[in-house]
Amino acid sequence: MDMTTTKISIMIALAMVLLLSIPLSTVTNAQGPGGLPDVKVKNMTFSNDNPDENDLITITALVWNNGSKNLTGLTVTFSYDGTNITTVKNISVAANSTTTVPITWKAIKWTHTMAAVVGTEKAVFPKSVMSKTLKVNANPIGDPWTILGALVAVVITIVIAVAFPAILSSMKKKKMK
Amino acid sequence: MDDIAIETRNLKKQYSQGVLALKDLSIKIKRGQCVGYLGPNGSGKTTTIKILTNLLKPTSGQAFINDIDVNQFPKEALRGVGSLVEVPGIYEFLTSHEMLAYFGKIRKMSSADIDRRIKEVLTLVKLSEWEHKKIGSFSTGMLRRLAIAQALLHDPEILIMDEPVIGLDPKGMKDVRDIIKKMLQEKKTIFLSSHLLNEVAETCNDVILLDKGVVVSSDSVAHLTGSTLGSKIDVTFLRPLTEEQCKTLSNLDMVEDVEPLGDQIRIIYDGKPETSSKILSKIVGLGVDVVSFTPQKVSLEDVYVSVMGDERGVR
Amino acid sequence: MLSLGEDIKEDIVHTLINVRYELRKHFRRKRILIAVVLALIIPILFYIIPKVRNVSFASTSVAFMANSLGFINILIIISAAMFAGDAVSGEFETRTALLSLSTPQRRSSIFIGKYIASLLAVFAIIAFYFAICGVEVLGVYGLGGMPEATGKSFLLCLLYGTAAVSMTFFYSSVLKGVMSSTLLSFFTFLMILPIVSALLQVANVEPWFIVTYSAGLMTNVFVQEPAFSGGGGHNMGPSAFTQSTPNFTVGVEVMAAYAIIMFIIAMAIAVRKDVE
Repeated sequence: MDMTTTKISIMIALAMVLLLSIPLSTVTNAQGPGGLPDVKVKNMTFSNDNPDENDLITITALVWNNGSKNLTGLTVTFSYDGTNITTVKNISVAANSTTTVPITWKAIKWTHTMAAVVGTEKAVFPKSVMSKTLKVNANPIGDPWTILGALVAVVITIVIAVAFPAILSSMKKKKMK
Repeated sequence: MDDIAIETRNLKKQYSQGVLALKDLSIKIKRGQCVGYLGPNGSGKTTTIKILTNLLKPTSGQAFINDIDVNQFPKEALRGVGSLVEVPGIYEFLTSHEMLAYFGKIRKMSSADIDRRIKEVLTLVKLSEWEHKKIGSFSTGMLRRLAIAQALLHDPEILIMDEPVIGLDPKGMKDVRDIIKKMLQEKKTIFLSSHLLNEVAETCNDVILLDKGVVVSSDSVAHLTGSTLGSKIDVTFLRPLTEEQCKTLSNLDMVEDVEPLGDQIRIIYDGKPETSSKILSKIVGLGVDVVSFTPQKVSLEDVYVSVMGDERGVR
Repeated sequence: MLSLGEDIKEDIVHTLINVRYELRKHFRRKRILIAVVLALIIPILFYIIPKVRNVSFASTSVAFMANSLGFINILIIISAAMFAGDAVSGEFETRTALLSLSTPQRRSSIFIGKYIASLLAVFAIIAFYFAICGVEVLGVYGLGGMPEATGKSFLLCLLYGTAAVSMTFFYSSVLKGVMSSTLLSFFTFLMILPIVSALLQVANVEPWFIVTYSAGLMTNVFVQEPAFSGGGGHNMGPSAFTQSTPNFTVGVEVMAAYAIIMFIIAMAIAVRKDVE
């Protein structure tokens, strides 16, 4: 092969590499069944496994790319009991590796099914979902000092009621003088 | 004024139903006196007593005890007062001792004084044996005695009583009379209302006659019953007088009226002893046989009836 | 005449004398006995019936305590009606006022003495009820099983009891008969106010100012996950009122307001009442 042909081959190869490296809005580098990327939420952890109501906890989804291609433009959608919390966008996972996707959530009381699912901006990949149960403790209602304060107010009223007639009588006597 | 124990000034009381019980009542009761408060039902006696004991507020006017306005300063005014108003209810869950002890403590008596006085007043009202029995088992008369004991417990300077002998048997009534007389000897002031005029006449120095919320008469018992108006002589004859003899007697100047009463006649005259003597002479001059010649003082009942009118009635 | 300090001291002494005698009345009339029997039977039934039926107790001590205290509301109302219903009206109906009010003590001393005695009696019944429930909780769930909210619930019961006594005193001051004041108090708390509260909620109005609505706090402080958990915990929009439990602070304030305002009004009426 002469120099010119070699140069043209190298240029075509480089062009192909460049083209392949441009991120696309939809990743269609399909591998795995049904043509969807072989990506899923491998694990989901909570910064506090039994938080109190209104605590801010970090929910971290571990996204695993089991394919041989790097994936970009992914989203991870977090929810509790089917209600969306937030969707994190523009997630990239290299081939055959994982990445962590954390979010912050203000804990709502009682037991919930927390879920994280991978997808794209146009669709989710249902089989990539991970669900876990999280139990949030409800805040205690009220504080005893408020009630004690109210009872003290009643006691003070009674004490004033005992003393008031005498004070009134004293004022009448002074007025008469 | 130190010698006035109880006083009302222009006292008026109108009840919510529109009934005007007291119109313009002004009375004064001197210290050391026993004053009877008389009047028909609905005249305002109990209303007056209730105002004096802070059970009612007057519509206008004032009531004073020891110169202290009762309704403005009831605690101070009622300190030296023992009272018995109408027929009070009972604390059936208490014994006599406990009930009297309550009133003793309210009046700041010491425990020793309370125990001593309870025994004394219960003895006075003949309830010693019932000191530690529950009041719920008492009869009406016993309850009345207990109420009187309550009024006397702290040896009050002033006693205000509304119909004190209601529910008492004759013995009980006598006991109450004796208590009142004893208190008078101790220079206490007593103000009592009653329908039993004999009781009032026997115990009271003065009487106040009340009708429709207004004082119609106020005087000493002696003066009222010893007044020249309406004094009587009951004369009993061996044989009844003839009509002519009655007419002769009626026509005498010194005789106001003659009432035939079977074999007796009642002569109404001016009440003077010399007149009584002259009448006796005239009767003897008629030649009739006199069995008895008894001048009668006018009773309080007579005064009451004459002041109030026959339709008021009296027990 | 006494100085102001001596006058107040005397009023305190008179008040305490009246407290003592009023408590004696409650004991002698066996009313406390009736209330104690009720306070004993109700929680014991909550213990005995599962045992007899071989049914397990509630999964948590919180649930057990909340269930056992479900009837404290009725016990408080019955106690308030029994101890306070005849406090003022009884004196006038039986004419004992002719004796007590003609003494050298302020009417307010008599009224406040009776009020304090009624409160103490109601508080004693509440404490007894809690004691029985507490013993049961310790027996079933062990020493560490006592729910934290028990203390708060107890204090709320005392506060509600105070409101109930004040309301009953109001009726007793206004009405002439013992029966009418006792029954009206009973029906107000058991029927009238709950019905008004329910109607307001149907009309999408939170009945925060109704004291029986606030009474829900007595058991609401035992926070428990609803049986249908997993779907709850959503924040509702402000336009759709679905809250059936009172706000804690507002509830406490409402109970205190009823207690204080009704007490003042009742006293103002009672001290001016004529003994006709």
